[in-house]
Amino acid sequence: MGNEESPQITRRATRLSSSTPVTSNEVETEKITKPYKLTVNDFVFGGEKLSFNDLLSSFPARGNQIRELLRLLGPVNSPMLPLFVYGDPSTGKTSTILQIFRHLNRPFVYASCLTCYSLQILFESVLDQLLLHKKNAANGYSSARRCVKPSDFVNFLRGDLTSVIEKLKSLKKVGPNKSAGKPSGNMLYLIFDNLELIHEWDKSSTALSFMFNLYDVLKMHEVGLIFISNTSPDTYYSNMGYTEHVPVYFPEYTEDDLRQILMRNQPNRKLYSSFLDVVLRPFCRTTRRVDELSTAFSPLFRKYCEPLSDLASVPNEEMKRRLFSHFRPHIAPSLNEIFWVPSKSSTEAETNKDTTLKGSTRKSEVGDHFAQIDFHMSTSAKYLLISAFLASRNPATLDASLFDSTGGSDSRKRKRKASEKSIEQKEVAEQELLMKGPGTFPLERLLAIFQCITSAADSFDEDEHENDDLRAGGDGGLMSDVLLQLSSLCNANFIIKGGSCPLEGSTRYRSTVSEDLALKVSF
Amino acid sequence: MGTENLAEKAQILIRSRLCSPNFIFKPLSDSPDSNYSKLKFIISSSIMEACNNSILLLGPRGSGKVAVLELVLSDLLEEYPDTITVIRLNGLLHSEDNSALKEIARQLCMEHHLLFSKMASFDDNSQFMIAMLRECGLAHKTVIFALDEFDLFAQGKQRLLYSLLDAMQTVTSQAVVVGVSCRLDADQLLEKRVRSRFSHRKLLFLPPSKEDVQRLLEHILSLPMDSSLACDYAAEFNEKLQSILADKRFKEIISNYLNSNSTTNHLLRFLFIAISNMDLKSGFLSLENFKAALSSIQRQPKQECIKDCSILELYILVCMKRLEVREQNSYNFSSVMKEYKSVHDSFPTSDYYAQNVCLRAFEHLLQRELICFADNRGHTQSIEFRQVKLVVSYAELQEGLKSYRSCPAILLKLIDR
Repeated sequence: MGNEESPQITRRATRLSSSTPVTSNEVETEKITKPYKLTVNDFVFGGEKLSFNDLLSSFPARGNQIRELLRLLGPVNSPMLPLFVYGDPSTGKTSTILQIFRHLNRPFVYASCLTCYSLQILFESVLDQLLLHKKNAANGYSSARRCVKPSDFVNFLRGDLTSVIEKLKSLKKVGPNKSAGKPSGNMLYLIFDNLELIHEWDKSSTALSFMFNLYDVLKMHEVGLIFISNTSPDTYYSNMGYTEHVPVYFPEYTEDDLRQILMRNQPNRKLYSSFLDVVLRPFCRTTRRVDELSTAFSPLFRKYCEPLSDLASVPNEEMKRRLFSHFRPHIAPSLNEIFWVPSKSSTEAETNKDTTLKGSTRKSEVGDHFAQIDFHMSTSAKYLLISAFLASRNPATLDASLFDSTGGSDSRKRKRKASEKSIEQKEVAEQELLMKGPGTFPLERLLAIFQCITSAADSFDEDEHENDDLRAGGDGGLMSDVLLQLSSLCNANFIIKGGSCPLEGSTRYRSTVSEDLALKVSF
Repeated sequence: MGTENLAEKAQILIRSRLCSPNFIFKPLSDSPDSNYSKLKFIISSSIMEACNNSILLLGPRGSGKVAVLELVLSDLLEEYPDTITVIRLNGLLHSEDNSALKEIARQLCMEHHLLFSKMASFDDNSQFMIAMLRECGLAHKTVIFALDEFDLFAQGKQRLLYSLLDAMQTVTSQAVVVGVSCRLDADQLLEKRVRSRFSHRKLLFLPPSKEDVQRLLEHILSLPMDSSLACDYAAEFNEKLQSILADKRFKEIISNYLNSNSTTNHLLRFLFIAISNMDLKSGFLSLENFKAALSSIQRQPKQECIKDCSILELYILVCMKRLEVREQNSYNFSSVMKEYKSVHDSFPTSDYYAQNVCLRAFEHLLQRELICFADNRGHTQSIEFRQVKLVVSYAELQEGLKSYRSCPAILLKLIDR
């Protein structure tokens, strides 16, 4: 084993492995990690056997759907028309189906259009699973067969499916007594997940027609097809005639279902239940998805339990009221946040902030939010972002008046009384601004505004502190990596590279930053 | 226990019948003027008279065109062994000429036990095909080309069709080209030179009539008396089945169901769900199975989508509807937010959320395809400024709001204006 491994190390040597000498310990660990050989028994879900009641209890609100799926899958070895399972994201479609297959112990092959992001990868993934081929270092992480076209896929699939089904049939003959690992039945099920992502591939219409007609093309009784999609069947209608499948619908959870689901695996159920009484109804008005609610609730629950000394205690009415009054001011602002991942430093900052603000009344939430920007940006990047924002939001004609060094010409303009026509014109202009969104600007304008702002900042700083470092770096230091900063801002999607202007031929940029973020950055 | 076992066996039998088209379409093919007999006559006469022929089978999807073709081919293979070679192509897979010729060469090699080389070029394959056609013609063997999704072969330059039909005319070959398509105007798609070599024979596949449907139901759902199932169980099952089929409510269900789509495949899907609903304990079909199958297969996806929306998403939909009613045909997320703010100003509610929460709800609606982008500038603008439009109609939205549990009254009032 050691001999086999060493030539590979020289072939694909990383810096780490070539620098550390191969000691006897390493040789031994390489011996232990032998690649796992797949067998026919690996087609099933595996693990412990799952009874029907366990299946029902692990999916609290999905009893009807589970029963419907079990009915449609039918008894062992009964042929099946293809199923089309659809519903909103995070309604439990994939997990329910996989657990059903675990309960039934039937062999299946699973491929998701999320991880297999093109037809070729999808085909090769299915064929790899059928051929029991695992990608590992020994074969250079390649698939067993190269398969690009649907015609090749169908030919290979027919051959591989027949051989797998033969193997399953021969398994039956070998051992009549059922062991937990052996698959039951001669049928193989193909599960295709996240079908709606095919819309974004090239040649998506032919790809989708191919997937939907796969059952008719294969014409094999021992294969069952299950398609899982996040969008309803009417989004797949094409003008080539649409092949329908048997629909199974997973509705979005109701509030009671959500309560049942969120209460699972909670150490203190009564406490969490009182928390949900307060929080669930208002949050359900914005979204009913389990994943979004659970990410919103976990930090809130911590805040709710703050006054409690003993987290395992059962709250009585008086304690509930106390907790509620402490918790209440936090509900409204958290309703307006979507996603807040607390980092370690910010929790410390929180405790500091709480101690300082104890005495004073809390300022409006707006002020607090502006103080924190939760990612790091260098100073020049901040200036660049603000210049991009200004360039996008203001038309080029205003540049001269805004960035004039004297800044005094505006005040000399006489303010006329706004006539009705100009008010209308203003409204129309506002409407247009809303519609068009941020404008595009060429690179030269961005650099000009950037230079204006930084020179103004420099002069400001000069008056305030005699900072040698800043002056030494000065203009040259800030300008040198502007283009680098620009490309990193483009990668972070703060600035979008638009189409090129037909007259000048230079690429134009557009800022995607909202006013809030610009204000935060400038703080 | 015994009845459950029998019921399971009966279920498996009927399910396998529903999944095999051969069984379904056999009784429809008995009469002499059915498509089956016509097709069989055309192909067998061209085999016997050693001449070339071409024919198109047209009909809506799911009417059994390929099934009837397969029945005819299997019968002919039995009647004339060793004189027929069948090559099957599918427009979804082989619409490109390269892959089509490769597939033809591969199937010919498989039939005649020759070695197939994957590296053969397009010219090699086409020369091979012409040579094989000539040889088969000299040996009085007929090659039948079954082209599924024929209209997809008629896209582009139609090189394959031209070379096939041309080879049939010039070389001493005996070939029959059968095209199957769900486009009724498939022959209009052909180029002039291809159409002139085509024989313009068309067989139309119509949906089954009421008597045919009745016969089909009996044929599929009745258990055979001479199978492994116990005789008295089968007899009782068939008796109960007859009483259901004669029931007026059942006839109403079937005719209601077939009003939308009367092809055979549609009916088979319905029967599949009904038979899966069969209660294994009692072991017999009942009318409730069919009623439950009807409600589970007849869905209104947009209504379900609206029911799945949260209240904020409904607000956004109603705001978009109001913008449309005001004849503001192009709007984007920012204008919707402005409308949302004005609605909140005139009817202050607690449902006023910040921009990012509304954007998230907006993205959910995009994902569910209740709204969609009206332009193609995905790369140069962010979501807030791209034009959107409503995909769900006013009536659907209204009905969805009415049937929504705990819909705020303000929304109903707004949508009624």
